[in-house]
Amino acid sequence: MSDKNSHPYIILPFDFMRFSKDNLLLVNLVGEYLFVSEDEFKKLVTHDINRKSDPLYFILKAKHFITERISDPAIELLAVKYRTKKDFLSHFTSLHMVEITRRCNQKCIYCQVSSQDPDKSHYDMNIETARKTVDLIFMSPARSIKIEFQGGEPLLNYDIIKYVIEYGEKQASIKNKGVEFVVCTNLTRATDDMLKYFGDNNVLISTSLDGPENVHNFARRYRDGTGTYRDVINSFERAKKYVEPSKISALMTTTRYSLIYPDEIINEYVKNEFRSIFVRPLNPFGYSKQKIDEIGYDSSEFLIFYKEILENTLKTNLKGYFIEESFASLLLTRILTPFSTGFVDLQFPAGTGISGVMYGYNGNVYLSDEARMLANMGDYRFCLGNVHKNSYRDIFYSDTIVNLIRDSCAESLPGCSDCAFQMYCGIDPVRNYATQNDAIGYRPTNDFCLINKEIIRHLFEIILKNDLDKMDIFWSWITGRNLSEVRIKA
Amino acid sequence: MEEACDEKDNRETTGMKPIEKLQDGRLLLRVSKALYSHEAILTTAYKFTDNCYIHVDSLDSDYYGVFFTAKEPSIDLFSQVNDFYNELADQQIRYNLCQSNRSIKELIIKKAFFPFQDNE
Repeated sequence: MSDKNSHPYIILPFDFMRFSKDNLLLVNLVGEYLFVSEDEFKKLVTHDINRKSDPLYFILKAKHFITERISDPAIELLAVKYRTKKDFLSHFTSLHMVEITRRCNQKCIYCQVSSQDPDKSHYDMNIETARKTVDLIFMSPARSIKIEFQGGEPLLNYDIIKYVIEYGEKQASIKNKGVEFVVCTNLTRATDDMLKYFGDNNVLISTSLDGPENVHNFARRYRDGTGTYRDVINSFERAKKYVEPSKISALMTTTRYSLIYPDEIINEYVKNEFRSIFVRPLNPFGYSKQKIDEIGYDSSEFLIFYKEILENTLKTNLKGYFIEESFASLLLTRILTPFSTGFVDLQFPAGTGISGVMYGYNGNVYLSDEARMLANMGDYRFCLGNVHKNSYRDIFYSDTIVNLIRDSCAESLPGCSDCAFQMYCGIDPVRNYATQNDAIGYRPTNDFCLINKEIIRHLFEIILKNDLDKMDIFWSWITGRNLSEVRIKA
Repeated sequence: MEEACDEKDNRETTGMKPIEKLQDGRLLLRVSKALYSHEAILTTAYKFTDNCYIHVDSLDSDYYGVFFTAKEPSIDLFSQVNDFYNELADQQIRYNLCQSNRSIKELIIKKAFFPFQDNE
């Protein structure tokens, strides 16, 4: 150590990665980042920064990579920021997904839910199971509850949706909690009465739109094989009469066929006045080899597609139409702000059970939607119990949850513990088990890890280039404001 | 059992060859115990287990031996070992930093999750 300081500075916890030929990326304990050169990095770790004359000293100090003494307010500030970042842990358990029915009028090419024919009503949730499910949901200590109706196609058991909403509202009032409802529907069975009810009761609608007619119909079909595109668009137009457009969102699932249509997919979302698009890769388990050959792709193909669609989304925003790519927006909020963004599929410790949980039509409680899919294939290891047989304590304090949470902290995971992106990323142990036969997972060949790391890296490349147009769009996504509102006026 | 590697770039001035090709086709990387921890070696090894079979052992009081076998014939084992060496340096820095600021990290997390403890 050279004599550059009257007393040496203390290096605060951070991780780093070699980002490019000229830059290392440093990320501290609370997700604050800094790009430095190799020479600057060397000076930092060898305590060789001149604290009187080197501007790097003040930048590192301001960004909480170094401090002068352990009693420095920086420690207190980092503790507050860390608590803020991990605030999602205090909302135990906020997302409750309810399989209203396993019946579905569609048979989509990528469906893993073992959906049942529309006439098999014994796959519906009944009123007693619905009541016990809601009772269990409101035992959760979370101050605000979100109930998501899933299927099958939940509108095929519409009466139970209404029952859960009405009984859930009562329970929320009694327990003094907030409650929000989301119906995840293909919309093809939505009547005007249903849509009006959702509008009147502030129910959010989450639907699926994979792209223009040819792309959508490739994957999303009725059970007789005909495409659903026209009926979805028709229902969507009717829905807008009753439900605020901001309360209707759509997800797209990427198949091999989608990969060549990044422009057309964004154009379709703009044409239908959506303000967000969530570009999702296929959930890659439970498929036969034949099906993988038909609809699958490798992570590098998906990443090329994702980057193209992100670029097109940015161009669309630049032309004056606000539309965010939801996954990028989530990651950017984590990278650029101090706020907490719990996301069941992407957090440390894993969100399975503690942030989100899934209730089957028969009252079975699963760690996640993927855990339900595994159970459909005969593997019940992530089934936590049943609302008819087990208490809240049996289910949510079970060894299954406790062990999984213990084993899903970034600090204890090989390949995550030393990753500079860990404050932005997360783990899905059920997916790891399903794809790699191990809940901890094996990062070097884990597609979930490869895709997330490359998307985060890509966002950092854009941030490093500091293209003002793109940065303004990022901020408009994070703040939910139009581009013109976030631009600095000359 | 071991034959000299002809990679001149890997020769050190001491005469010790850090990388040697063994007769059975494996590459042996000698890693100084004075410079590198076994934690850093194992963390680094994890990242290379997709392309290589890796065996780590103690050679003597001064060196660990890291033995590499390519999983596929197309894998350039020398390149893997050199990349391993670079990654090992980074992992050792991480390990050193982690050791030196472990107590600060624990203090920050303790303060974050028990904000009222000091006031009670």
